[in-house]
Amino acid sequence: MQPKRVRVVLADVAGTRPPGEHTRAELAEQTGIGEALVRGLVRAQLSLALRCAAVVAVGLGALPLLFAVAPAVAGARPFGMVLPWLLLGVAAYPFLFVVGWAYVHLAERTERDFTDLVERH
Amino acid sequence: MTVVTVVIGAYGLRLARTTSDLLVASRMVSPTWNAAAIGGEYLSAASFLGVAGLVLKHGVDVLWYPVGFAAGYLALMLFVAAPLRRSGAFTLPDFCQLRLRSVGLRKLATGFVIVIGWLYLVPQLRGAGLTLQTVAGRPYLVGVLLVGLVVTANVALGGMRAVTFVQAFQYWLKLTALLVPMLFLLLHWQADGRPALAPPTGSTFAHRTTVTFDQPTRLILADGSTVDVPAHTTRTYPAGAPIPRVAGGDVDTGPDWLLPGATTHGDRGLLATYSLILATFLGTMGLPHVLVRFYTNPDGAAARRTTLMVLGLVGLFYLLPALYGVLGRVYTPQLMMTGNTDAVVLQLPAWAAVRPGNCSARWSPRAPSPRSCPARRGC
Repeated sequence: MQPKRVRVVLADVAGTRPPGEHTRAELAEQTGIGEALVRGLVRAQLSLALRCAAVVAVGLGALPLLFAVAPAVAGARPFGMVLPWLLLGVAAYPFLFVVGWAYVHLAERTERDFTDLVERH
Repeated sequence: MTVVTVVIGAYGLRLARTTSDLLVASRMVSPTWNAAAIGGEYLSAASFLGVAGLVLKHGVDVLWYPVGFAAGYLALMLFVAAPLRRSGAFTLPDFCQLRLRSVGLRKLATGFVIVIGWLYLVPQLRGAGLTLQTVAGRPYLVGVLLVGLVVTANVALGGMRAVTFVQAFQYWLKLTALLVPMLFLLLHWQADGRPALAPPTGSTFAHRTTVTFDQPTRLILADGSTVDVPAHTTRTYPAGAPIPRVAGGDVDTGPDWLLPGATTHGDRGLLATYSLILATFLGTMGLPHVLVRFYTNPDGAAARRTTLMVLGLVGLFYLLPALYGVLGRVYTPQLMMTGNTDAVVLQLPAWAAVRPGNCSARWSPRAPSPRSCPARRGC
C-alpha cells in the first residue's frame, strides 16, 4: 500500500523532530544516561576527527614546502615517474581513502563501545 | 541522455508521494547509490575539462585542484556528514533553524543556497545552450529552455529519488566516457614507444600542422626572437618543429613543466599553492547541493560510509583528467599555441588517431570556440 500524496510544505520543520530516528547516538540520549557521558562521546569523536585531519594536513600539506626547499626530491624519478606527479596524481587518492576508512572504522567502534556501555547499565 | 533523464523522472513521479519522498527520498538511499549520485553531481564538465586543460598548461602544480576536490570530502566526512544527517532536517536552512533556533538564520542560509545554486546553474544552462547550438544548430535559447524545462520538471515531479537515479547514472556514464578512450590512448602511447612528455628542448608539433591566425599575433620562437604575424594568415609547421609561444599567452612550453613551482605565469608561488589547498580542502563542506544529499542517508553511520565511497569514486575519476592533460602535451601540443587547452579532453582522442599528415589549428583568441580541426583520420 503506497502512502497518500500530500502537499509539500517546506516551512513547518521547526520543532517537529521526525519520529523513528534510530541513530545510535539518539538511542543513547533517550536512555537518560548522564549528559557528561554523551559529551564524552562527542569529544571522543571530535578528537578522532581532528587527529585524522592532522594526518592529512601533515601528509599532504607538507609536500609543497618539501618540493620548494628540496628541489632534488621534486626531481627524483621512482618507477620512471617524476615524484611530485606520482604523489599528487596517483598516491594522494588512496592515501585519502585509507585515512577516511580508518576514521569510519574508529568512529563506528567508538559508537559501538558507547552503546555497549549504555546497555550494560 | 535527455530521454533517459525524462524516463527516470517519470519513474520517480510514481514513487514520490510524501514530503519526505520529495526532499530526501524518505532517507532510504543506500550508500552505494548515494555515493555515485554525489560523484555524478560533483564531477561537472567544468571540473574535468578544466583540470585536464590546466594540467596541459601549467603541469604538476595544478594537480592540487583535484587532490583538494577529493580531500574536501574527507573534511566533510570528519566534521559534517554524521551530525548533519542526525539533525533530522530536510534542507540546509532547516538544519540552521533546528540547530540554532533562529528564523533569521534560516532566511540567510536560504539566501546563500539560492546564490550558490544560481552560480552553478548559469554556466550549466549556458553550456546546454552552446551544446545544442553547436551539435544540432538550434538557436541558443532553445537549448537553455529545453534543458531548464526537463531538469525542473524532473526535480519538481520526481523528487530526490529520481534525482538520485539520474545523478548516479551520470557518474558511471562520465567515468566510462573518459576511461575507455584513455585506455586506448595509453596503448597508443605505448605503441609509439612512449614519446617524452616534456622534451628537454621544449615541446614540438606532433603532426604537420597548419595554424590559422584570425588576429594579428606576436610569436616568440624557441631561440627567443619574435615574429609578428598579420591577421588572416596561415602558417604550416612540419612535424617535429618547435612550438612557438604566443606573446601574452600563459602556457608553459618548456621542460620545467614537469617540476613543481616552475610555472612562471600567474601567481603560482608557494603561498598561492597553500591558499589553493586551504580553499579546496575546506570548500566542499560549503556546497549546498552536495550537503543536501547527506539527508537522504538512512542514518549517521551510513552518511559516513557514503562519504568514504565518494572519496573512492572521486579519487578514481580524478586519475583521468591528469592523464588527459599529460598525453595532451604529446598528441595535441598545438593547444599550447592556441591556448584553448580546455578542449584537450574532447580533442585528444581524435588527434591521437591521426597518422602523420596535415592537420590544422586555428588561433583566434576572442572567438567563442577557437577551432583546431583534425579531419578525423588521415588528415
